[in-house]
Amino acid sequence: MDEEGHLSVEFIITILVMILMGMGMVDIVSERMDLAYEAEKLSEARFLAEKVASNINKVNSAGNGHEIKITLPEKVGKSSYLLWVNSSGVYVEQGGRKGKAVIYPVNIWFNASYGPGYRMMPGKTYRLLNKMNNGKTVIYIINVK
Amino acid sequence: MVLLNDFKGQLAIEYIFWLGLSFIVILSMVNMAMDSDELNMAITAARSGAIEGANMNSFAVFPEKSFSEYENHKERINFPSSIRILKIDAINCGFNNSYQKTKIQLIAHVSAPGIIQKTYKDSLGSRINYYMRRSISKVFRTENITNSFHNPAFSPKYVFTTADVRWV
Repeated sequence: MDEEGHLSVEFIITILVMILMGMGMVDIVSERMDLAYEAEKLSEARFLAEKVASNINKVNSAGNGHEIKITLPEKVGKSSYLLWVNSSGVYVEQGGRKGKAVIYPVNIWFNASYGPGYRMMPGKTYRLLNKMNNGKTVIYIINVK
Repeated sequence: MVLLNDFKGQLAIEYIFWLGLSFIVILSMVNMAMDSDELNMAITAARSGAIEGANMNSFAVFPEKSFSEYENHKERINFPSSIRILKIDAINCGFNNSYQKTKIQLIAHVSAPGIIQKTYKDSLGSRINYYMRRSISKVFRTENITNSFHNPAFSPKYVFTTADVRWV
């Protein structure tokens, strides 16, 4: 014969207050989640630029004939990106923002099936090769097919 | 024991008095509570925005236009550095007749031991202030009633401005 239930007024009021507070917090929580996501994108872009720059510096320091193979990720922070290299540094661009990782000043020679210029493509593997050319150190960036 | 004819309930009169009194007290406090809630939300949003600006400065990944400017004139900023938001003060500047809202000035206290030059600190501080104001505008959805620098930022009852960052 348990056909009737009871709910106290205090419980209903408490639930109502909690719902109102929760609604007020939704915007803040959403803002914080966006912040965490943006921080992830920034840190991964910076990490990638530093990783490529560090590998170029290692090959440069190691001397003539040394080589390192690197593979670029498909995406950074779940977003697409651009990466290119010149004799002063490695540049990464993502979501309208740019960062730079410096390298020891050195001549860069870039040969790839995909152009243009010194751009390195996401998801591709490259050989970084240190070779002397006319008495000067040159770092060759070669696309591995 | 079986209760028969138990069709009527009773409510103690003290309970009714207590309920009525609570209702009146809550009604009188609602306005104050909502104002506090709005200010708390704004300061929390400002803190989020300041952290976002500091992250961008720390990782040295900037919007393209800023990046080009720094590369030509302020290259040190394009290097990652440790930048921490220590606290954010909110100063009540009183009622502003132009905006018909209470004006709050936000001051961020930031630590950046690796950055020494004043011009660099000014650039980084401006970014932190911009993101603080932008975050407030986003939370209260008032981007359309302010300018592109979100200066000042608006909420229903307050107008927010930022002062120069205090470097610690």
